[in-house]
Amino acid sequence: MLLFFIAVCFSCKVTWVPDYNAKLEDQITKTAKANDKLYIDMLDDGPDKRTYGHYKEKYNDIEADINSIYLFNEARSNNNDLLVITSNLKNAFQEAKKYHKDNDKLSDGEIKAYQATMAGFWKPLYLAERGLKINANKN
Amino acid sequence: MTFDIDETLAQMLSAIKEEVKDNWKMIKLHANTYLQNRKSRLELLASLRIADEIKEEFYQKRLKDEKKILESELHSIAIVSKSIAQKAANAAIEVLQDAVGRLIKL
Repeated sequence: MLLFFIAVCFSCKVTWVPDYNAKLEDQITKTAKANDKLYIDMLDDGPDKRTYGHYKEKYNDIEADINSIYLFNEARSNNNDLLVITSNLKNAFQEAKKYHKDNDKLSDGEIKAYQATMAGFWKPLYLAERGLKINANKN
Repeated sequence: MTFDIDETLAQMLSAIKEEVKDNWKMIKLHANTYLQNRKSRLELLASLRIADEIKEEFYQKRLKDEKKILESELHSIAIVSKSIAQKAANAAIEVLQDAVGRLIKL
């Protein structure tokens, strides 16, 4: 009877993190790449072409992808840590977009700074999702 | 056949050690990556400010971003740590379930 009780008590597996999602990891990689490319293109284009209007569509595509990642993470269980990471990324991107919109053109220095900063926001999200893979492998 | 709790606990501990040992390197790797990246970013921001390629207000905002990036990195490390702990805990539970299951079948 005691053994049966112990068996029942421990019959469930513990769950402290969300399940790994390969599609989401792929979406994070692609969107981070698009964000990086946005700044690479700006540096390549030269000061005269760097108006907000010229990059508006790219900004909106990336923002929509980040919103979609946030929405997906909102629906996951045990999502507290992931929501902080995604929310910080979302806010940083919106701030960078607004700065470009308000100032219309960015200098080389501002682009380089934003490129490095945004990469800093993307990395924790990517490594966190990769970290979830630990539990995707068979015990 | 009796249930040897000491033997089972030893096996559970061994399962935990095995899981943690295999994945702990990942935490160290992530922490080192974050440190190296932060160093590069701060060097870049400082050099841009010194060369007057970015204004003081813009520079200060990027430094504020560093605090948020650090927050994200710590949460990222927390996720990986919890992920390792989850796998270790489940491996230990599996050892217990197997031990109890064998006795129930007898």
